[in-house]
Amino acid sequence: MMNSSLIIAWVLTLRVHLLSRFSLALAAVGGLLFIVLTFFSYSNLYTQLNSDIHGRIQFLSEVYHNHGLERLTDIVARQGYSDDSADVLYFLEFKFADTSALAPAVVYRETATGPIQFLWQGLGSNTDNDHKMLAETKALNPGLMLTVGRFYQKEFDAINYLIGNVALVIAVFWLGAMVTTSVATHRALMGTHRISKELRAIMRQNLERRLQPETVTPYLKDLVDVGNEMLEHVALSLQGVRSVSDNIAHDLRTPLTRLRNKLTQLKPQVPREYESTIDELLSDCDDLLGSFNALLRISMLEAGSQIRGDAKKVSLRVVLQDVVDMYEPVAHDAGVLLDFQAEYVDQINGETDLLGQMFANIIDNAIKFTASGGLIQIRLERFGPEQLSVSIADSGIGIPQAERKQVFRRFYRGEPSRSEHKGHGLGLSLVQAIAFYHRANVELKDNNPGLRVEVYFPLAI
Amino acid sequence: MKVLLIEDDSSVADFVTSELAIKGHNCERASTGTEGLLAANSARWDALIVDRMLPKLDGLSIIKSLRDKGDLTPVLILSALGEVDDRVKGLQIGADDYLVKPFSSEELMARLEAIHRRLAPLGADFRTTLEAEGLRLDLISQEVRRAGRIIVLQPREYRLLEYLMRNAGKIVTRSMLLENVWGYHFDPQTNVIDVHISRLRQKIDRGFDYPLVHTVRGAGYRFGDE
Repeated sequence: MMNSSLIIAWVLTLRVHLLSRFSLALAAVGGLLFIVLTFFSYSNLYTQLNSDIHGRIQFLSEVYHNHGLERLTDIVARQGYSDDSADVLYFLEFKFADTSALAPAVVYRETATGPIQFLWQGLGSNTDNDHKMLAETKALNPGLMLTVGRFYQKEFDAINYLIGNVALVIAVFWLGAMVTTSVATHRALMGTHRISKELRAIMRQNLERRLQPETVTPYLKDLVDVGNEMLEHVALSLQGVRSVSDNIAHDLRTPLTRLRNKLTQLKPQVPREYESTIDELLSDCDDLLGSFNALLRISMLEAGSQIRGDAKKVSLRVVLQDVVDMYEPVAHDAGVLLDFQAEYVDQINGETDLLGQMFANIIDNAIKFTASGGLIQIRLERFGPEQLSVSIADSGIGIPQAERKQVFRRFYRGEPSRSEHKGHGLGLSLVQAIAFYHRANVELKDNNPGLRVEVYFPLAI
Repeated sequence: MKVLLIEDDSSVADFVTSELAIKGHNCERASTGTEGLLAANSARWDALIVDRMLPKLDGLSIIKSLRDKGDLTPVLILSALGEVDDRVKGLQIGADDYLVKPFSSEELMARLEAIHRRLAPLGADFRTTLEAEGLRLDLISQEVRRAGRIIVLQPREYRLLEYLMRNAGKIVTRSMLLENVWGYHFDPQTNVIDVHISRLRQKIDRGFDYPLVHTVRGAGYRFGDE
């Protein structure tokens, strides 16, 4: 199975590779090479043929002028019309005689200046094939035309054959280059693929683990070293975050608690009319401590590792039922109906207290922002093969689309919340931190009217 | 109450000692783990308050060694660590309650008294009725009567009343109620517990001469008088 998946992965790499810029560039270079070669081969052939024909015409013309017509006809007759095996064809035309019968297939134009190309269909009966011919005509005197023709089918075929082979070689070379480079790339990618898989596992499970430099090819060792170094940095900054959190806890919570304790001790000693002031101060202290605690928990959850597969199994149905029971009187007092329906679903890996906190925060918000006479529907369902969905939908004022991302930010408070409701603005941040810890996703949706909070949990492994 | 405090942070130790003294309790101190274990073994204590992080021997090891010997002295753990794991670990090893630093004096006293009571009257667990201030709670039939009149309670209200009555005359904090009645440990939003208490009050106090459930401002609730 591993092998077939490897092969599939390789085929995919190859496909991508064939369409890559490198491959196209290489193909373009090959094509250009082919065109240039073809062009020069043919032009070279024609140049040679032309100069050959031209030389012969020159020679025959000199013979005519120096030695007369007789000598010329002698040579022409000797080499003359010849048979198909000869390369050269001489042809004398007397303007005043009808000679067309001698060369039925030779076509030329009197106006032609350079050599002209045509197909020689032969004189004899032993020719089945057309023959390429190049010919030039020269007027030796006004009544006498000399034509020199040159067959070049053989040369032409030879060049075609050569060019065809060159094209084949280029194509094979290109394909070979593609396959070898894609194999090499694929092997390199498999290395990085392994590294990324390993890194993902480290990120999800245990940040203390490191990549093994021995298991990768030497040229990836550097990457592994850098990865490990980065993990080291992450671990260090995590430690930093933790110690900062601890400092907050120590430096701010401790004196605040001391302040609170002193206020408590002071209370019985102050005159009666100040007692309510002290109670207010105490409740302010409690609010502040509540904020610090929530902040600290958020930081710890976000900086810490996520829940493991071997964690305790929890029934979301039970937790939700508990929280619904807990909030039922609160909702009742607010004139809001809580409607809870749950499918019997499998368990998740979870921490009961954190999950309780999460649903309490969501339901608490829902009650706060739903007017009397409203309805809050809480549903637990299976979602796809590997997830559970918890949906808490109210008929309240909802959250405008633009604000839905911001509400998860620490200390963010929407307008109605700021003006009408008490709170530290950490409720939804904590919800998200708890969701992160459980590898769950929180989504805010429009309930038309109202807000629907959806949380998707992975099922226990 | 004779309490042994094992704590290396002297400011916390001073605070706890003075709080205990105000309430008339007798408190001895140990500042390292080994010293603490020695002191715990050398006398009978009504309760131990043990810090988790201690020099030489950590708090959990002290509790484990006491429990392994069959010593059931109530133990309250103090800890700066507030993560879920730590709490569970502490309770699993045999501590009776867990308090995260910093804590208020009410929370400390309420929890200390609660764990002390849990063990104190021998055979407390065999009681079949709880009775206080004219309210009678039948633990078997779960029937509640005040001045002879039957009061119908929801199951959760019944458990809330039972917990309050078991700690009659003592302060119980909101988080103690959340932990013991609902079985959850988190920061309840707004006034969830208060709403449940007010429902309970409506049923058990309405129409009677005097209230049984009192609010202790800044701390929690108390069933009956001090």
